[in-house]
Amino acid sequence: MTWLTPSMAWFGLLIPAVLILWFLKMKRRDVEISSTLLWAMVLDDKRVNSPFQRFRKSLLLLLQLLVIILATLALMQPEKQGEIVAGRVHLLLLDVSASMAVTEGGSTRFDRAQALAKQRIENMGAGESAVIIAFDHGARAVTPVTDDRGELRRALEVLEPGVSATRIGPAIELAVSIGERQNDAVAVIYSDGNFEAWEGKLISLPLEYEPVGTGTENAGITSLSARPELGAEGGLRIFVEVRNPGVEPAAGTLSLHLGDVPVRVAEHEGIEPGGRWSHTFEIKGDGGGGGGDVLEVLWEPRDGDALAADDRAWIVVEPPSTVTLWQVGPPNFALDDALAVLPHTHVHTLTPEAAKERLAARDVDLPDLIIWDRTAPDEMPRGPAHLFLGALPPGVWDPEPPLVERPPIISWDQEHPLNRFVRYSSLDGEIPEGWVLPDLPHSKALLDSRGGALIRTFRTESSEGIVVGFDAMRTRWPLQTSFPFFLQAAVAYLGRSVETVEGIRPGELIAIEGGSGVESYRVTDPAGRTREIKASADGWFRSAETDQLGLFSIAWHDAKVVDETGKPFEWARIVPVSLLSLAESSITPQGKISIAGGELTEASANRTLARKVFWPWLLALAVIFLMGEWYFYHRR
Amino acid sequence: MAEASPHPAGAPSREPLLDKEFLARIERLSLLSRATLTGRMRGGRRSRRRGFSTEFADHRDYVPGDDIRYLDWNIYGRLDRLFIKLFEEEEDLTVCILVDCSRSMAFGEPNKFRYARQVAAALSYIALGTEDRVGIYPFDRTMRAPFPPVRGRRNAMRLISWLGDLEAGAGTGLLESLTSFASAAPARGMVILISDLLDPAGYKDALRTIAGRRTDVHLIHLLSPDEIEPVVAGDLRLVDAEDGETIEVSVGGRILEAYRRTVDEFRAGVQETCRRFDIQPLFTSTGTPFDELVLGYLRARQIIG
Repeated sequence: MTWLTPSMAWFGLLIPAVLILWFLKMKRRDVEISSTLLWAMVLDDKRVNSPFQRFRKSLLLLLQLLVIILATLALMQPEKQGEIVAGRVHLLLLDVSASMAVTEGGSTRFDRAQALAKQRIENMGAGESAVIIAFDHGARAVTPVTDDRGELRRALEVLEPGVSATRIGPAIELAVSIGERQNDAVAVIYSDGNFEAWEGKLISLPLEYEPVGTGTENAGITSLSARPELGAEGGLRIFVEVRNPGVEPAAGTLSLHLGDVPVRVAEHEGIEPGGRWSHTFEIKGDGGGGGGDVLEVLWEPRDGDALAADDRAWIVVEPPSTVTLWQVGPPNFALDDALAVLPHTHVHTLTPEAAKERLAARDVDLPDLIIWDRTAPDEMPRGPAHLFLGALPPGVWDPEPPLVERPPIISWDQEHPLNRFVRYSSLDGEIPEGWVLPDLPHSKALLDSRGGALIRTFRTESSEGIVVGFDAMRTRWPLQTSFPFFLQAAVAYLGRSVETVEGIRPGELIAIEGGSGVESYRVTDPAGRTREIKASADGWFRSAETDQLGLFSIAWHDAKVVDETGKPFEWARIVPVSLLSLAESSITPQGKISIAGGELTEASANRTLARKVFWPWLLALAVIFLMGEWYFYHRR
Repeated sequence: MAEASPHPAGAPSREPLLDKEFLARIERLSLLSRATLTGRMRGGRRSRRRGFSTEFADHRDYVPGDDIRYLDWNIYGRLDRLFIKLFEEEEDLTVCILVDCSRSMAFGEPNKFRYARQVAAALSYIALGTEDRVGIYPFDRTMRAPFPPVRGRRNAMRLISWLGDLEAGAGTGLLESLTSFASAAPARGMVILISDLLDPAGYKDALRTIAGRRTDVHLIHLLSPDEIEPVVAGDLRLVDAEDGETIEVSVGGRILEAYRRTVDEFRAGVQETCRRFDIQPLFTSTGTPFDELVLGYLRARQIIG
């Protein structure tokens, strides 16, 4: 038992005050009797005429004392002490993520969470208030802190689960920011617990956890990506991963749709519990995925499953465009031959001096890619991507990486699309000397020697590219087939000849730089609703209102860019929104969750639910006794 | 409590103490004394004194001067000695009825004082019907003027009327009153004391004064139902009707229980005292109907028969 306001015990001093008043106020009724002889004999017995006996005989005094005692206790606000001290401000955190839409026994998990929260609201005592916080990838308070149960109920009823993944962090941070302004707050999390542990700073806010959900069986698409096929025919390779976090094998069909037409189908007879199925669809250039196309991947579990949101995912393939590149350096016939066969590529061969002059000119059209063959600019030009062959980009490594003679080849990243058709084993011991390229942020080693990377990607604030840290012309590599494959992959990779838009997760930000002349963007959401959204001052489109699965279409025009007829040029972009969340596909309700290093379990929730506030009952008893005192006073 | 008494000041009621119907019912009753007693005149009651009636009692040796008509010649023939036959002498009985007229008797519902006078009237009527001598001795602080002993039923109505005119007086002086009575009362006879014995000075010494080997003493201890089982509650100031003494008391269940225990102890004390002084007590309350007391309890106790 704890006392929230023990200082109110001073109120108990009213008890002796009442006793004193009792003695002072005692009015006796005169009654004439035949003789006081017998009564005198009675009162000679001190036992029955003691002051305490008088108290015992005074029901009114007893009731008055009880009223004071109960009122004093109520003012001291006794509460039954639990491990977590709950409060009078209930921060009700409702998970509205996709997994809460799982239907079990005729109702969704969110229905259950709603019912629990509603019960909590109904059980609120006088003086208690609540706020409802809905959270998925983000968190928002849908009511103010209020004791208006009707408002809380109404806000609760309009909530429904969305399609987003869950992040508990923003919800906890919001709850803490609200709870810090309250004297006595407790946060209650209504969720199936399928989110990553939050490792934020320790919080003083008491937390309770009300897990919901019972089902476990669900398999869904958790990963979708596409890479341009680097072969001569082009095309796309689409990687799909289906995960089965359930406890039973999941069989089903995976199909790839171009528009509404299924173009590829694959089946799996049973993904093991906890296992994954990684499947790759290959699409040639003319067989779909040629450009500007929307590819939809559909997972159809044979026995159905609990969550539909993770059974579909989308990817957009932008149309291929011609890559303009500058080849800067001394004459190089091997390089010339390799570049000449690349499709959709327009090559300008320049000497270093000519390149320097062009870069210095203001009105020159910069290429998509510059290949620096054994030469390097004084300063990295902004805009194009860069491929350095036997040269180092200026300003990227400081100090300059060390040169190593005949570095032994150890390994290369065979998974990287640049290395898909490339074999470097013939270079082992064949490179006369090369720079060992240290690791950088956002950099990836493509070829490793014993001393370090010999080929590495890099990305800085102003540029990105690939560095081949040795002079390939001094090796036999240009004479091998892997060299043109490497060049083709590098040009496709850096020149974005085929661009795939893998899209975003629900709730994530769409950001498009349309240009300074753009005034507004026309957005059509997956449901077909179109809105006009004003561009920011710098002409950007930014929106996080992406809580729908499917395709968002954003169209705009720049008044400064007109076509040959003088009309503003129209641009459009399609952004797919897919769930692709293993946490959401894992619908097995979690009995415990980890918040700021501590674990909350259902059991701990029960303990805190056992907490009782007694003062209203004490006050009610005091009122009853007061009424009893009034009754007996008048009856007498 | 007697706060609802119709005659708090002890004023006489105009209603006759005994109605004719009741008088007819007690016409044939007589007072029964535990012992034959000496009276002044020969009456309708056997006396321990051997006299000259028809009831043989004993023999004794003849002494000169004895009436030779009572010589038992049969014994003289057998024993050659003279014996006088002794017969129980029929004598009248002097019945003294002491009525407590203190103010405490003027309480209760029914009123104790009227009840006491009714009992006294009934007993007197019965006694006068058997040629006994009856005297009424009212008292409060002291003895008041008595109704002197009379005999014969012809005096009954006068006596009852006199009783009806009696009024309750002031406080109670049991010892002084009874001492005064004992000094002037006949040495033998029957004494009936009707009182509540509520005297702050006590009752034991007073009862001692009227007890005697040759006196058949009866006590009718009279309380009202309110005095036996008070119906009061709360914080009270009890005012003594006789002396104005006050007692403050907060009456509750425990107090009432103690009071009842005190009444029981008081009555037990009276009974013990009566046993010591050979007094026949009868404890009654005005809650017992008057005729039931006379025709039931008194007959059952063989006070009348």
